Amino acid sequence: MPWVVGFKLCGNCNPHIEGKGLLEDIRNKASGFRFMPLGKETPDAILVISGCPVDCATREPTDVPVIVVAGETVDSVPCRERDLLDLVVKKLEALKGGAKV
Amino acid sequence: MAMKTGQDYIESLRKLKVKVYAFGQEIENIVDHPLFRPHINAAAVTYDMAHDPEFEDLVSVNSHFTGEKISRFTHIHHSTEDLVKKVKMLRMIAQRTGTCFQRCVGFDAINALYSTTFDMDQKLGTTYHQRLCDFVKYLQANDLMAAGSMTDPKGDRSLRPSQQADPDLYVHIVEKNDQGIVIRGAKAHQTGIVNSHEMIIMPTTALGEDDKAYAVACALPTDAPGVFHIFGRQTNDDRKLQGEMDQGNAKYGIVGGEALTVLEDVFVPWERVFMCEEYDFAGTLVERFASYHRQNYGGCKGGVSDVIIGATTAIAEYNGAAKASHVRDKIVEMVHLTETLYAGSIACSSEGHKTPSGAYFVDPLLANTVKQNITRFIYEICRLSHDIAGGFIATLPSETDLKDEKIGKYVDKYFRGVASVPTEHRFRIARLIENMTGGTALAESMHGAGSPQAQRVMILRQANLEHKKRLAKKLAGIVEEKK
Repeated sequence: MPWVVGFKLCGNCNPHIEGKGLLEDIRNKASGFRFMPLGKETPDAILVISGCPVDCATREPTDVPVIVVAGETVDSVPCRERDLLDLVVKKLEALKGGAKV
Repeated sequence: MAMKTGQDYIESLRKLKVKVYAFGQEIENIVDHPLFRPHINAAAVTYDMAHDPEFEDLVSVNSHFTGEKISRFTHIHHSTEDLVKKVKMLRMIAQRTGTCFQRCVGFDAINALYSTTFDMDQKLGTTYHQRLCDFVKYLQANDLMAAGSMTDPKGDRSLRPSQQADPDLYVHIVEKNDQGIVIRGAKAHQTGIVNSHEMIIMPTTALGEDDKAYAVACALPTDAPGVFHIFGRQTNDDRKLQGEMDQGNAKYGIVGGEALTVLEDVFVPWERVFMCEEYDFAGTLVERFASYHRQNYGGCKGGVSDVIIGATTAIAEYNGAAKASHVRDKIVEMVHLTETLYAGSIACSSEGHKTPSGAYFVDPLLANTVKQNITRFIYEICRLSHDIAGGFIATLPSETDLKDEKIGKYVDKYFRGVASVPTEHRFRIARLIENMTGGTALAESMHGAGSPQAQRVMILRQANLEHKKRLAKKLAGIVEEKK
C-alpha cells in the first residue's frame, strides 16, 4: 500500500532552490509513495518545500511526521541543492520503514 | 464559489458594460484591444497563480469570515504573517509580470475601510462595518477585482474641496434619499479600473466640517450608470498597436493602465455606503489606506527591480562587458537598493499590530519610509541599468527594420554584441530595459501611493522628535529644570 505524502510548497517569492522541480524529482524517484497536495487526504507523512530558510509555507501543527526542505537545508541541516533529492528520498524511505526522523 | 482562473477572469470582463474612451473613441471591447490586453493579462496572473501549487501559499488564504480558500487580494489581514505574505506575494508576482498587476489598490481599500468603519461604528453608532463586511464577503465569494479609488483631481491645491471654483474637482455627495446617495466628481490615476469589476471610492484628504459632503466612501460596479473612464496615455503606448518586440514587455505592458473615472450623478444604494459625511474619519481612512499601499512598494517594485537587474546582467553579458569590475559593482548596487526596499516592506509588515477591529495594520512610519525610498531608489536602479546597457537602447531601430528583407541584415550585423548571442536577443533585452525604465514607469513609482511630500509629512508626524531630544540631552549630560 503506497504511503500518502502530503506536500506543501511555499509561495516562492524569491527562492534559493528550484522547489517545484525538486518535488517532481522526488515524485519520480521515491517508489511506493503517493504524493498529494496537503489537505486533500490524511497523509502518512508531510513534505514541506520552502524556497529559503525562512520556511514560511503555511501549515498547521500536526503529529504526522514532517520533512522540511527550506532552501539548502533538510530539517534544518545544511546541504547542497544537488543533494536535496537523495536526502529527502532516504528520509521518506526511513519513515516508511518505521524510523523516526 | 471557486476561485476564478485567469481565463475565467478575462471572460468575466466581457460580461461587463464598462464605458471606456481612448483616443477619442468609445472602446466596445477592451478585452481584445491591444491597448488594454497587456494590463488584463497582468491582472489575470493574480488569478492563475492561486491555482498553482508553486505559488498558492502566497496568493491564496483562508477567509476569516468563512474559512473557505480565497484570493489573498480579497483578504482582511489578521496577523503580521498576513502582512508579510502580502509583500512576498507582490514581489513574486512582479518578478513574473515585470509590471503592475493592479489588484493591490482594492485590497488596500478594503483593509483600510475594515478598521475605519469599525472605529466609526464604535464612536458614532453607525452601521458601516457590517455593510463593509458584506461587501468583502461578496468580493471573496465571487473572486472579484476591485479598484481602489482615492485620488481626486484636486484642482487648486491651495484650496479645500469646498473652496474650489468647481465643486466637482473632489467627489462629493449631491443627494441623499431613503434608497441611497448620489455622488458626482471624478477619480484620477485609477489603476486597473477599466478591467476591474468594482470600484471603492474613498476621500483623498482629511476634511473639516465645511467639506462634509466630500466625506464619502462607497463601492460601485465599474459599469454603473453614470460612470465612464478616459484611459491615460503612456510612454510608447502606440507601440502596443504595432508589433511585439518594440514593446519590450509585450505580454504585460508598462505600469497598470490608468484612467480618469468620471462619476456623473451616480446612485449608490445604502448597503454599499461606508462613509457619508463623517468628515472626522476621512483623515484616518486616508492614512490607513496610504500606509497599506506604501507597504507594497518594496514588494512590487522589488520584483520589478529584480527583472531590471536580470535584464541588465543579461545585456552586460551580451555586450561582452559582464566581467568588468565597475559593471559588477553597479549590479551589486542595484541589488543592494532593491533589497533595501524589500527590507523596508518586510519590516513595516513584521512590525504591524492588531487594531480594535481585529484586522492588522502596518507600522506607518516604516511604510512611509519604504515609499519615500522608492521615489529615489528606482531612479538610481534605472540609471544604473541605462549606464550598463549602453546608449544603443535609445537609438535602436524598429523591429520592422530588424525583420526587413533588405536592411535587416545590417541591423543584425551592426547591433550584434558578443558573436555567440543572436542580435534579436540583444534587441529584445534592450527594449525590455528601455520600456521598463523610462517615462511612465518612473513617474508611477514616484507618485503611486502618494507623492514624496506626502510621505515626508507622515514621517515627520511619527518621528517622535521629543523622545529623541530627551535621549540626546541625557547623553550630553543636560539637566533641565522641570517646569
